Amino acid sequence: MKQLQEILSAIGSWQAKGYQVIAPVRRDNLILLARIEDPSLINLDHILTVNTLKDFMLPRCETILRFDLEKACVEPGIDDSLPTIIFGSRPCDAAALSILDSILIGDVVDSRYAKRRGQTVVLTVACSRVDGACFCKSMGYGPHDPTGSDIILLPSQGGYLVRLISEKGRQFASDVGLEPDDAEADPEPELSRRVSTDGLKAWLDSNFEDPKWQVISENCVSCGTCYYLCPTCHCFDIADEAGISRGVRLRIWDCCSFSSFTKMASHQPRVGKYARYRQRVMHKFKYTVDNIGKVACVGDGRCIRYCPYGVDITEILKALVSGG
Amino acid sequence: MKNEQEAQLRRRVRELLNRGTVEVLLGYGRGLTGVRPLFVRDPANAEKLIWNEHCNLNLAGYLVREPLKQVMAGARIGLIVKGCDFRAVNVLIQEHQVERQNIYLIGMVCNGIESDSGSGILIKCRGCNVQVPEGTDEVIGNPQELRQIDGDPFEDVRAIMEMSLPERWSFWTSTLSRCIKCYACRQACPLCYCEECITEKSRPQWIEKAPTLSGNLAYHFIRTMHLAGRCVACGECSRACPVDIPVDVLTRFVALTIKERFDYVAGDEPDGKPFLASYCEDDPDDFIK
Amino acid sequence: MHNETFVPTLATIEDIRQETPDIRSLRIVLDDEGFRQNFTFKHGQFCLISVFGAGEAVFCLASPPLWKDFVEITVKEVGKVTSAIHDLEVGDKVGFRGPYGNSFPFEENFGRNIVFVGGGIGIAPLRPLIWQTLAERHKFKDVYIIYGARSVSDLVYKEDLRKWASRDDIKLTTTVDPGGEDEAWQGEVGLVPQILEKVSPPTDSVLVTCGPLVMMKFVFLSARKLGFDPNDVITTLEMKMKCGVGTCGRCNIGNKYVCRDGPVFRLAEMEKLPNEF
Repeated sequence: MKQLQEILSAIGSWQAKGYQVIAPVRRDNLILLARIEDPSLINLDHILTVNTLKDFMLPRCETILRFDLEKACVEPGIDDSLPTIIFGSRPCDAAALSILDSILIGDVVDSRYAKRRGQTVVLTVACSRVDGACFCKSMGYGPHDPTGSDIILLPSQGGYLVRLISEKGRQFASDVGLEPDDAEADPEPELSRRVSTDGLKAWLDSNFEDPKWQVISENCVSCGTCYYLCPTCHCFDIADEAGISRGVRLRIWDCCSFSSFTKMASHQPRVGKYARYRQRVMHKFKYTVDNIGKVACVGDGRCIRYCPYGVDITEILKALVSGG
Repeated sequence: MKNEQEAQLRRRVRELLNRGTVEVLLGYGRGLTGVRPLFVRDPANAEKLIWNEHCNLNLAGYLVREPLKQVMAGARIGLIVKGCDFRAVNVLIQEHQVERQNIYLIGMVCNGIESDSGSGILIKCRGCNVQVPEGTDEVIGNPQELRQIDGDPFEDVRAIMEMSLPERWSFWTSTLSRCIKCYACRQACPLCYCEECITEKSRPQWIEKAPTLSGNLAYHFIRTMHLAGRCVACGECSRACPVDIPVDVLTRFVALTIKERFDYVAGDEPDGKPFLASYCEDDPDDFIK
Repeated sequence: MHNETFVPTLATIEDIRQETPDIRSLRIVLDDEGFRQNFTFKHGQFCLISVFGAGEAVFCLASPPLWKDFVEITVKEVGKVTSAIHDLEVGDKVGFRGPYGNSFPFEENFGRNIVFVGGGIGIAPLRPLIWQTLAERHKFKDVYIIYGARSVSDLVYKEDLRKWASRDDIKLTTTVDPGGEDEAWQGEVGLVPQILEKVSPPTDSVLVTCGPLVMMKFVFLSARKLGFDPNDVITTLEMKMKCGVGTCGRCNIGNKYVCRDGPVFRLAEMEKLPNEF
């Protein structure tokens, strides 16, 4: 077993070896994952950070290419990905990476995402506390679940046990001299929020048209909060920002709740707030299941915590499958 | 203590729905993470309505969004407002977005809204002169039990204005660099109702789409100017922000300037004129004449 | 193609043909010689063309793969990128990504009648398949082309139409909407679905169609009415697309991504998809 202090003091030596370290830190009233210089600022007193690992693997804005119209030349955007340790994120956020991997490193490989993933070691700190919005268990994960982590630290009697999960994790551990433990961890904290997904896929398969879609989406105001804070949502836009002769092509997060998402000059195939909300639910709980065999939800609960108008996905899933 | 105001509200909503005065009513309900909007169609569900010192939401924005916008085309809807929320309804009426006769307004006598973080009555409630909403279709609550709420409703705005220019610039650049352009502030704003927001226009594209600092500054500053003379200082934008940007300080700064210079408060009078649509003959500036 | 995802290769506009007042076709040559020589695609696939500064948009490859050394796209001015394309001149540079998407079935239809039904600029994605079919004409039975536009001046590929009209191994019918004819017009006057019913091709044919959404909905109805098997009615769909590879998330109809699983669909497949296109 290791004390948190021992681990934190080792982080400086990882940085000295050339790793950039991303970890939870306090910024004003928020706890955010951010690149840190000073490991003593790491804050592990959180349930979940506001932002997710997506911020670093599929950033909210990245340069695809730069162009110079006068010289008629195009250069790929500078790749700034460094060997990276993500320290202190939670199991649900790591599990989300395994879903993004299936989507973005599949038949077609998203080169920038793949490069960043290849250079990143995810060192998860498992949860000793949960809150009322957490529902990871219902999605098949859990407060100590290792899915997507390379190394996981499990809470044990006030300290942490190191478990090496992936080959990448084992290599990193041997590189920095992090020894695994095999003692028994504390029991997982209990989750109060549960939702059964029994019958959900079958219902979604046959109820694209159903009056319930209008009802469950009533409170939604079509902002992008739930999307942008979701660890698995990955839709994006590609747009140019240019001056007179030079400019950049950017990949920017985008969101199915905005009507501009699908709007063409000639045609809008998805009309209505309810249809956009339906797309969100269908995409997570049916289309992704059909395409990669996984639900695109890890039960982190950010969409519930941060929705300004109380839209609650677990309540909605229950309402969809319930009779009447 | 028994919440007589809430009980009366439920009673009245049940009556209004039973009599068919309104087809649907929007009020406050309880979500698992706090107060949230509740649409009531079935009179039996009036029991789910709540009213307490945490009912901060300004529900007026739903008037110009689905599904109420569509319902109002053929039926009357009910809306629960505090005196401050009513200002947003008034601006929507003045700007011809909704028609007064399509809305049945239930005004709640209000003793101020408590902050969810436990820091007491919200800044926006200070100096409130609409604790008893006048001009609604009915008022629920006892004006005799009111407590006056003292203080400066612009204290936070003034605190930022008192910063030196470099300090203020650094405050806004560091705060706004956090913006992820989820547009929760815009979507939460009862007065951001444009069918196509300027952020979505591409020919020409006025605002960078990217959530970079320059794109974020452009978005928030333009939004601030679009709300000049219109912002009713309800704070929905900041409340909705997932990354804690005090967006309303920008729009309320403009509201404060307009109040101090022109003695104008957006939405104060139901049949008043929009600020930017009014001028007077004796305007001290002569360019307008 | 560049090995960084979404980075296009440069290409040069070699020729511009004004098809109609608001539609032009561009002949594009890929700059990189190695890439150009190895470049190949299938009829029905699409590409993304960028005007740097305005952005990228999706266009079907409108020339057949058998025409080597260049590709053609046909562009109607409707939005930011398309209007930027309309401002380009011969010699200007564009970005090119592709080919993407699936393609029209071809070999499986040997020995059958083929009916092409196009409306307006919607004939662009059919054009490579038409020329490919004509190149291997002896492998098919009868070939019908039914093509219509709002007015005579809105008909695209007038040179192609003349060539097709002069061949006696194609049953070509052109039509314009009522009121769209001029004095010299010798074709039909009527909406494309009506003309399809009038021509009434044998129902054991394969029908390949593309046009405005409204036209297609009625073409499907007419095809059903005439007795076509929905497996033999094939179309290509347009949705807003950004990535071209099924990850940006906006072109799906149900669980199908039009860019990756399409754009070519059989009516039988479409009837199983949610009505969201």
